[in-house]
Amino acid sequence: MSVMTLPSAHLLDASFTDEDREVVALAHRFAVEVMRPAARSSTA
Amino acid sequence: MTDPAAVIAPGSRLWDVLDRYDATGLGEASTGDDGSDPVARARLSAAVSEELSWGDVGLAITCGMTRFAAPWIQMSGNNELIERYCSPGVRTIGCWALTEPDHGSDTVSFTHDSFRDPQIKANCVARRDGDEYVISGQKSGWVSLGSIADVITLFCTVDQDRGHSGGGVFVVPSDLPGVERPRPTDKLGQRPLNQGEVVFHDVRVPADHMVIGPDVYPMALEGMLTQGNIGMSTLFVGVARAAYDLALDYARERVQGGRPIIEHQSVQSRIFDMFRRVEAARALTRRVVESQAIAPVPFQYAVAAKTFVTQTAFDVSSAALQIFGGNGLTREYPIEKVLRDARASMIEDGCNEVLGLVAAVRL
Ligand SMILES: Cc1cc2nc3c(=O)[nH]c(=O)nc-3n(C[C@H](O)[C@H](O)[C@H](O)COP(=O)(O)OP(=O)(O)OC[C@H]3O[C@@H](n4cnc5c(N)ncnc54)[C@H](O)[C@@H]3O)c2cc1C
Repeated sequence: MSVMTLPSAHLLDASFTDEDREVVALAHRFAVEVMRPAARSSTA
Repeated sequence: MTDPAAVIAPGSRLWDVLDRYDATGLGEASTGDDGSDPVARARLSAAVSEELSWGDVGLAITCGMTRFAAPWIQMSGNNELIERYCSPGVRTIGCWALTEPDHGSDTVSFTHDSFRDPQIKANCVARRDGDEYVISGQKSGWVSLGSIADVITLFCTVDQDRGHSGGGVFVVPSDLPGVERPRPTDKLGQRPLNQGEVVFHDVRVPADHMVIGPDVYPMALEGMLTQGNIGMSTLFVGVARAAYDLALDYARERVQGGRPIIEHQSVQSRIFDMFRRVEAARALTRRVVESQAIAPVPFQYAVAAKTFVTQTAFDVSSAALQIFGGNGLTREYPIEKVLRDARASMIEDGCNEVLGLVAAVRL
């Protein structure tokens, strides 16, 4: 995910550096690609 | 729904999630001490927590608990333990064992007289025997990750004359002889998060495994609850936001009266109310998170955040389910799961109303 597609919930996180944004984007991608499918398919 | 024993069975999806989480390096990226501004790091960590719990809060807690045991183990100063559980690349799942079958709210009510009442007898006690402690009794089926933790951070009674205030904190490897972990608990929400009782049959640990003694136990418990309540706040902002996002997406798709329901004014105002609540919950959370990065946050502030945010997560997910109409009640849509997850949070790490009573003494 690119910096541009950070969830809008972080719109006011102006103090984040580009590196911070990458970390948040990575967490979001992990949530979308790994956590949600895992929760829905087998555990929740 | 998946059987709680199947959730944690070898080869289950849970272990794949943990492997993939480790591979992301997210744990270190947001919490590692790299000399940068602690407030900025704390803010980043809160944002990461929010994202992960937006994905699934039960799994987010599970991932987070791979970092729970290390500080307690370090406190023991026991090199064997440190090498075994804290070496780079070793995954150590931790758990916090406080709640007992007969004592839930009792164990967190450290500002109340009952906490010091020796007539209130604990279910789990450690007694000194030479160079060792012998731990006997039981912690309840509500210990998160109790069934799969490698190391148990055990809060239990040491000096029974002081009631629950006479506690100690122990690090207990879960493979020691006498540690028994019966079937995991089946529960309403946060089902990917394992919950399991732990029974101690005269478990012997060296004296250095007690890292907090009775004299400072109430203070340590207060610190732990403060930290835990701040952690809960960051997590359940993500749950509240997940509910809001799901409702917004659905309202844009679902057509009634010939147009998407988001174009109906009452739906718009309900969605905006959810947005407002999520923003307020995040703002309060960030306030305690950022303060805690500089100096310990007083307990009452952490409780204000936890109780407010978890109540918000529940209110927003309930309002979101209403936006889904009948579809919201089915398992085909994810909102009913988010509502169940949020409901559990109002009891998790202390019932909200009890936490409020314990904190009120500090006002
Ligand atoms: C998802 C989840 C995860 C959890 N994880 C952990 C964990 O990792 N480790 C752990 O040790 N525990 C954990 N818990 C347990 C949790 O901390 C307890 O459930 C909680 O403290 C309440 O205890 P109880 O369930 O025994 O309820 P009780 O204490 O029996 O309370 C029952 C009711 O009585 C009310 N009540 C009790 N005492 C008072 C009082 N003094 N004044 C007014 N009202 C009162 C309560 O508000 C509640 O409505 C978890 C719980 C959940 C749901």
